[in-house]
Amino acid sequence: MQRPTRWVWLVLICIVILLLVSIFSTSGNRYHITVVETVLRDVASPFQNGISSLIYRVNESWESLVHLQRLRQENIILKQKIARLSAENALLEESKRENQRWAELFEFKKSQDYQILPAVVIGRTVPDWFSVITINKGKLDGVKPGMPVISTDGVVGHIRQVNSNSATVLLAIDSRSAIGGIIADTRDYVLVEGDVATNGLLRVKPLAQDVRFERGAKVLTSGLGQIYPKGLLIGEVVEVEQDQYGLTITGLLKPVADFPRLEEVFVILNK
Amino acid sequence: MRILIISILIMVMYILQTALFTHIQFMGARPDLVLTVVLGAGISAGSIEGMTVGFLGGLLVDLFRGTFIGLSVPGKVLVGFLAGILPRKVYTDYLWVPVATAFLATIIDQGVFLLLGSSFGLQQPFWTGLRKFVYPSAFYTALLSPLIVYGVRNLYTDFRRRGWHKGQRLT
Repeated sequence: MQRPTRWVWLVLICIVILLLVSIFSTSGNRYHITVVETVLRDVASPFQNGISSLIYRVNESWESLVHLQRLRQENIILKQKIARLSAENALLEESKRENQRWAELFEFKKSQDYQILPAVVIGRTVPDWFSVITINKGKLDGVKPGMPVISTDGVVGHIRQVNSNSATVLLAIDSRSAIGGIIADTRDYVLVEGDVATNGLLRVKPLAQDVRFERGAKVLTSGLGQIYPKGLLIGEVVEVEQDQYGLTITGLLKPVADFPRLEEVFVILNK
Repeated sequence: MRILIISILIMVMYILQTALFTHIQFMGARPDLVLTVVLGAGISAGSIEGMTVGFLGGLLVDLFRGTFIGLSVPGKVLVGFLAGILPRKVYTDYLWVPVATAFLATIIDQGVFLLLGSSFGLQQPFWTGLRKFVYPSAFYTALLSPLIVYGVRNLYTDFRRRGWHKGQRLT
């Protein structure tokens, strides 16, 4: 094997330096991307979209076949329940009134106040060090970096980078994610962070020393950050940990969004 | 022309691993198909070709991901280099060698990624990550790699026939 010439070494050193500069300059939060990245993703996203659509259709057909027999049996049982449900309807009306009172208390925005854009998940990052998904809506659909993304259950994440027909979403469980939160009962402010070591749970840190929360406490978005509007459900506290001196507590939060099985999400276009 | 075809192949593998295999997971992990292309290039055409494809593969993956661009390159270049010095006869004569090679290649690639990433602020717990992501991904990649490596080897045979690749393996 020939020894590399001086010029080869020079080129290799330049490549290494360029790589180091690239890694360092792209290690932080990036909302704007280069032309090369835009072109690559614009080329790839139609194929990702096509494959995902095909997979979803195959899954739906398979599930329909498998569950058909079970659905027939369930149908018989459900018809018997209809009579009983009529009597329970009165109770449901009372629950609805109570729910409206809670909604006012939590200061939930009504869904018709948000302009929501539905999107389908067409890709996920590999390796799984980064919890990022790709959706099939982009610049041409009005999506912009920093827009919050939710599911029917609650907070999913926010838009990071946008191409013409696709966008990447940084999930709340990513270790780079930090969401300003508020405990629903006590109205104390907390910070909700992603942590890859907690097996899909989020870490809750109080923003003041006297903040206390318990298992079962619901955490909503506080609206204080630049990204999420107030009142969106993030999750429920499942574990509370105290430091060795008993001075501060942190918690683990089970997010309401089912991140491993996300198929459809919604981008909030106006906060 | 060869580099263009390999680049397209890498993009196709990346699209498959992010769109298709996200629905066909093994222990919550997905295979690293781009790495198997790098492995195939190194085994078929030697260390220099393996390193070149490793560079391309790492860069393309990072450009798609949009963060820490360049961090995937060293691991894949190393895998490409090591694949090139693996004796071809050993690889083809023993069935367990391709599977074991792909398994080790995934661990090397991800290990380098994590170690370098920690220097640039990538906060991922090393041992938890190995157990949770790398080992399952390595198993899955190892299962699929013989097929992809075989395909890449045939591709390089075609390249040599067309005169698009004149380089010889180092061993």
